[in-house]
Amino acid sequence: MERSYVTIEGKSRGYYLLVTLLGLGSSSLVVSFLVAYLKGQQMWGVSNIIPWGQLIILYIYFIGLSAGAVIISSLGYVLKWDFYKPITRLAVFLGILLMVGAMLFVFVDLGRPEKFWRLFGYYFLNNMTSLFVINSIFYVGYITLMVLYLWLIFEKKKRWATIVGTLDVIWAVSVHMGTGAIFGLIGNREIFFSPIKPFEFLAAALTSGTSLIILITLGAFKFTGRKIQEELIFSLGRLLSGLILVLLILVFVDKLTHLYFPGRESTLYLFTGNYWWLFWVFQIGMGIIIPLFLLIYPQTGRTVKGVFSASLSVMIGVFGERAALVIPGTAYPQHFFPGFIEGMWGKPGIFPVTIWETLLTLGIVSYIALLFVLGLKYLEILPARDNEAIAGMEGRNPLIETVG
Amino acid sequence: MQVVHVLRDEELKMSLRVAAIVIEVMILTAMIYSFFLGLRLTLSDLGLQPKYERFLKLALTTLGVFILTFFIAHLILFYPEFIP
Amino acid sequence: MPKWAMVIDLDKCTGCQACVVACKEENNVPHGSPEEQRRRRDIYWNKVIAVTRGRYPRIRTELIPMPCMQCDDPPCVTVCPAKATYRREDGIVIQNYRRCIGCKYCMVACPYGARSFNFRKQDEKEYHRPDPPPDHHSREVWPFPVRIQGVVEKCTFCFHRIDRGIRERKKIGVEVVPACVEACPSCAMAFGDLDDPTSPVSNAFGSRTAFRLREELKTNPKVIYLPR
Repeated sequence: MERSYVTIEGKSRGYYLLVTLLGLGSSSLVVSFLVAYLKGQQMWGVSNIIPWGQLIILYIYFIGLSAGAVIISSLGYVLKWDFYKPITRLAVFLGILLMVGAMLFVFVDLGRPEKFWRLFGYYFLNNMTSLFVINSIFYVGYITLMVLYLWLIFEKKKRWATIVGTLDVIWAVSVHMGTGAIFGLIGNREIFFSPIKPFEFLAAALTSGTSLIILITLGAFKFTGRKIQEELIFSLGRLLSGLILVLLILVFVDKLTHLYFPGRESTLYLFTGNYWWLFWVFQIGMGIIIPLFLLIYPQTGRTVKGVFSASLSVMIGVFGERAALVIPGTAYPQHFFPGFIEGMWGKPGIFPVTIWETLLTLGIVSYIALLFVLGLKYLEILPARDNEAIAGMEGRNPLIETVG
Repeated sequence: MQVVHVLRDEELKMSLRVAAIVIEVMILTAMIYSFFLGLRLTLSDLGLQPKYERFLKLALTTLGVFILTFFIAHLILFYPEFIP
Repeated sequence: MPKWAMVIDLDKCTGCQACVVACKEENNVPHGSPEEQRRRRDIYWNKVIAVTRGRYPRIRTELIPMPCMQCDDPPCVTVCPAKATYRREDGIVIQNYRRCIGCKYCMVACPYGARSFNFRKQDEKEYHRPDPPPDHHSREVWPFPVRIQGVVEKCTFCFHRIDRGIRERKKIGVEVVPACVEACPSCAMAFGDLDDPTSPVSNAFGSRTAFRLREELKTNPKVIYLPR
């Protein structure tokens, strides 16, 4: 069954409005970056106690989304489940853009962005024990593989696409486990330090990636008037519920280990300190319990609206999970000496949400969304409207949009 | 009798500075433009299908604008205070 | 190769923070405004913490000055991607501002909170010493004119003093010491070579009661404390 993929016409009023809004968002990226660069990072909420803020949270979130999206897309080509083929191009394209977005987040977060090339001077200028360097090797290879994979899919070279796709999936797993290792291998921060942090990150990536694919598929298909196969969404929903269970188990084991000695106080701080709501409301509540409930209950699990709400909840919840790692992890005061440390050195850190950092974050997200929306118009990502088997469509069919 | 306007020292420095900035921005734009154009042409010479070109052009243009803005910001922040 | 270390006798330390101020003066570290302190963005190369143990009336407060521990197995060196921080042969962990990209990974990894980030370009009035050096004919390296925005900095055991002292063949630990050691009014701090059996540092290291901070993390810090 040969499916044909088309570009969208992109001439409707809604499309132009979307592009304008996202363009405004991208200009806010430029403006807020200039403000932060010229005035220094004092304009953000970061401090000497919490050195990593919204930008690093979104960096790990986007890498998770990208890795998750690519692994889900592998269901189409690598595992040869034809059922998932309509969303493969969407997922891989999204994966590339999300990785570019993650690189942008790291770039603007650096204190001296013009020296970012130092992250890529492998063996010569770099410290190979640093996980940033190991990760940069992974990221460069990952983006190259994804671009290659997408190009092979566009050129309809199925066999090559399957080979590169398999390699891409394995690479995506190592990419995100490497990102998890950035945090998991830091021994002095008890909330970070855990050998299963890479696996937790992978599970969170898979859940958020699946939810993103569900949301984007629903959005793109609805807004371009395509008929969505409900079975596809339900199947993804079932996959999502399985992945959320895996995430729950991993988070449970990690927190349980930390509740035993040593290092119990740091986990108690995570549970009851000034950022308790990041963990309980977002990570556990919206990331695990609510979507699991929505998906397992047949009255909501078998409706498109239910799967949509569950996916939205997972997206917000996993964002909260990333935040619940970065912020309380560094906010928890380090115990230099046993006893009660007086004054500000003993107090947990506070991370205020500042306007310029938020504008910068939203700006980068809008830029990536803008690239995605423009990609829908200029590249053949979405399947043709009428996706009953139309093999090698050459002639003009009034039901299907022409290639742009 | 003709009145010859002799430029004062500060005015000379100021106008030199402005001229230097304008020329530098022009050189920067030219460099970024030719780099990205070269990238696009190389890719199409290597056999990239024309259907990808519009998206590539858009993405590279936006990226080029960002890079240009970044370089201008960097020069503003780290411009040497004096001319040796 | 000497192995520089510091001994701090907590019995003699009064918590006056003269070491903190002297370090700021010597290395031209900015003063820091109350706003910066509130936002925890002020730059401290040397800090003094107060730790309380016990319950009233049997209470005990330790005042602990904490410079950079110059660990023998530094976590910050392990995680720096650009090799901007590295351990010299004589044991001092150097921060190279030219290479630093400001990713702040070392700040996350340091178990002692010794590192600070430069969040902004400081005003002229924040500095103790103007830039350039007052003596234009001086051929000396001026190590710390102004802060470089966007990089991480930390205590260096005043290596500029030590290197100059070695060049001038002075006795390090007696004639040439870091600024904090020099400024301490109760002589609570001592500096020297761990490998030299006559230095106060190696004597303290072998003392029965000497301890180091967070030894369980196995970073092998080189600041040794003698308890009260």
